Amino acid sequence: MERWLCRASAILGLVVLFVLVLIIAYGSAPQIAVSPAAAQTPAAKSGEPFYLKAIDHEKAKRGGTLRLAAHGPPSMFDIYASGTIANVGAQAPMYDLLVRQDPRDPKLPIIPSLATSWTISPDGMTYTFKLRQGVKFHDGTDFEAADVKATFDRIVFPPPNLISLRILPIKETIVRDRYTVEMKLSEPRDSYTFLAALAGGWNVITSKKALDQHKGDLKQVDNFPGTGPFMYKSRTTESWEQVRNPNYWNPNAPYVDRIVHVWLKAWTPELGAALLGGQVDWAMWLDPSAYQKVKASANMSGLVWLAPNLSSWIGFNNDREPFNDNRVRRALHLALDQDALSKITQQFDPTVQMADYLPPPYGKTYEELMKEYPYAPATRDKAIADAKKLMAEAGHPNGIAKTFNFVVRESPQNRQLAAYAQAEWERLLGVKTNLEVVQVSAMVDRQVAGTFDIISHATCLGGADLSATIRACYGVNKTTGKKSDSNFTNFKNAEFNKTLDQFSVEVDPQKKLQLGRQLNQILNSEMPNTGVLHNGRAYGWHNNVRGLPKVGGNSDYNTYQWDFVWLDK
Amino acid sequence: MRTYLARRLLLFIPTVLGVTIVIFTAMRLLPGDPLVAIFGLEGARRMTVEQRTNLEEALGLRDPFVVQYGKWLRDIGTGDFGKSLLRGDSVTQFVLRRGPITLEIAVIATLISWMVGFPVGIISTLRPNTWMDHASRMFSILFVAIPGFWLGLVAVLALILWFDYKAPILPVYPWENPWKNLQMVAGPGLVLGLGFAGFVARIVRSSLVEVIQEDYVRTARAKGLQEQLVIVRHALRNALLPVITWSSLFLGVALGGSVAVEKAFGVPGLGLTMIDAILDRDLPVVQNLVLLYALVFVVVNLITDMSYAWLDPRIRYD
Repeated sequence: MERWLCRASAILGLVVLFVLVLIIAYGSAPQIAVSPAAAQTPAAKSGEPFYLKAIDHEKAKRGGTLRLAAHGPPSMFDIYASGTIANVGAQAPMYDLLVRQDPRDPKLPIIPSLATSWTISPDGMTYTFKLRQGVKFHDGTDFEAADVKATFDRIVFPPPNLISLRILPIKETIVRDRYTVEMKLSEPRDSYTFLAALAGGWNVITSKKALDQHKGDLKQVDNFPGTGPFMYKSRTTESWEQVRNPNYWNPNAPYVDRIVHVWLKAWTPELGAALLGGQVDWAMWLDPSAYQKVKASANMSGLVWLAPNLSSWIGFNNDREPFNDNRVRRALHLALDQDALSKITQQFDPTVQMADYLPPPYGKTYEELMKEYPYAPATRDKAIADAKKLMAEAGHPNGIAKTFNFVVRESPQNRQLAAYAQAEWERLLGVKTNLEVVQVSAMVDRQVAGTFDIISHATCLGGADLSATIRACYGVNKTTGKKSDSNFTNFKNAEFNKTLDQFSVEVDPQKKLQLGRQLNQILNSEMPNTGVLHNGRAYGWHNNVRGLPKVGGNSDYNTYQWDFVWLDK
Repeated sequence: MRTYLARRLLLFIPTVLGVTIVIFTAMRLLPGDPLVAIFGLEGARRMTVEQRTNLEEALGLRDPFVVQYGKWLRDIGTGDFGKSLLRGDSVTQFVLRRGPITLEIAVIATLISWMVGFPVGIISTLRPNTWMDHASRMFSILFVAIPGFWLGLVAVLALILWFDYKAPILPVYPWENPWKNLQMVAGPGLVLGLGFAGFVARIVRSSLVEVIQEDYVRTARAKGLQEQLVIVRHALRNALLPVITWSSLFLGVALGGSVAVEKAFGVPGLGLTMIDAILDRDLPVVQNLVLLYALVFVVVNLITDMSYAWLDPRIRYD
């Protein structure tokens, strides 16, 4: 009997183990169901206003579910107050913009959206938009000029206690009639810059009714009405599902019936695995390894979109000694191999590259920089010698006895970057630092309070209006007269501010180019920060997702409506 | 029994209050600005002092700690477990969406620990000092010693290499698709369960070794009962009590242990939520999930103590 009991026990244990292993091993992981194809949408008639089509519209299939790996979820839903892709990425399909940048073309030309046409006054200070008629919000209300005014008033003149991160040079938005709206500029802009700024993916049009109802505060409202190609279906802790708007004003779009945003964090192995394993059709912000695999696969495509931000990975507190002396700042910059900094960061983000302070054509390209002093490898010895000379001129020939506080954002790339800078500064210049690794929100507190000697890292969120980005990062807030919100290095330079004022209102392209180059030159001689690395975002998708451009351009914030994409399934 | 139950329930209150104080204090000691979590870097930087003050007041962050603590207790009392700072979801939504997955993993782990641990323990007891006993003891020590997260990583690696395993990206519930749900929870359940099985095997062995030497077992054998009946009806039943105690602890430990195992398998349960929330400094989620885990632990312990009397009529609480 004992033998029987032993045998039965052993068999039972083995069977349980075997069955469990089989259960886990066999059968694919859960997939999102794909709905049947929808009926064909009629084509646009000739003579009608512009309607966006897929690149290969004639061949396009309709229906299906597009599964998107999205960085998210958003912490709140007030897209106007948000600075993260988590909002614009997931919310954009439910809304339309007044005008938009063509998502099919990496050069991003301006095309109509809810505005079918526009005129610009001779002085360039007034824009009159004719609006599309017969458009309805998802809640059934009609879209009218009052909605455009309410939206841009919320963006430009946010109610007290509400935040708007969008900087638009609009003095006033006026309703001329039910379908005509006029915008008066607060200062001149060239037409592309202004229209591209309006076309920023964040400036989604919502209804006056909704804004009035919520007093402009949309933080907790995940379904404030839009007119977009997709409508809110459901949102869970893992995903957000949106379905085709059957009453969408564009007869060509959307092509797919359903989109599902699945939250997968950017640059994680989980994200890459979900794309490579076919659990999602498209993924944003891939890590280097996954991006290389996507590029190597015949069944997948990938590209990099540049971010319109200005990124500095190491900032000096220009208010504190000795960093208030530009000779010290330049010496610290020269001592670091800037290309090595970008290579360190590329281990974590494949799109990072050393850059000039301002993007081309105002600054130099990476290739240009790498051919000249102090970035060319052949000039490194001279750069280090010059760095030592500058330190001697600043009164520190043998380094500095004090140990400086170097606040480092808690992330692998920042930690490695800071460790490299720390070692090189001490080895070459005798400048000692103490690394203080802090969580991102604590870093913002330190930036705002200015309680640091050196800090990493900060990105100045950019948009189509480069002058606004430069002002935010290095300039003075024209309303308050104080340093701008993102000017955490406390950079002050009267000549720079004067040139920036001229640059922001200049509409002549040649003069603007000259002013932009002057600004870049000032930054290169003042060096309020170092480790100027520009980054983009790596995307990948399976080739059955059709309609996406093959080359990325500047700013991906305007490409998330998904009305120009179809599934070849 | 009633007096004992009342006493235990009364003790439950200071225990839970103590837990809340520890959690609340620990969360307040962590650095970080909730406004950055909500509005992002740029949003937090661009706030005016007035905007910041108003938002902090709206979130209750400017209240004294005692008031914040009181409000938290009040919210818990009304069933409001707060809202994630980084996600537009409430903690209740997390618990409702992901709790069932974690609970399944914990239950499966406990069942596996019995199904594997009991036979191994019995074999070891009935065949002392044989190769079977040695193998059983080695098995139990091995799985007690191996950390669950490591075993999970190795299991996932093996599944990827040999079976093209893909981590689930969305939860699937048993009432939606039982087969897919089982695929999702079986791996973490197995890994956790094997660790517990080592404990169960050791406890069963030590209890049985003791019990089978008791007079009543000898009496049962002497009166001619079949060995199967002696072991199952008499010896095993009496050896069950410590196993029950440990199993109830397993259920609590499985909730905590599932944090690492869910991460290894990429299963969207409460454990993965906890890890993400800790990494993101999503304080309301961490605070309320830790409280929930503590409550589960305390309640399970209480139920276990109550079950002793039912399992062993000799135990009386009066």
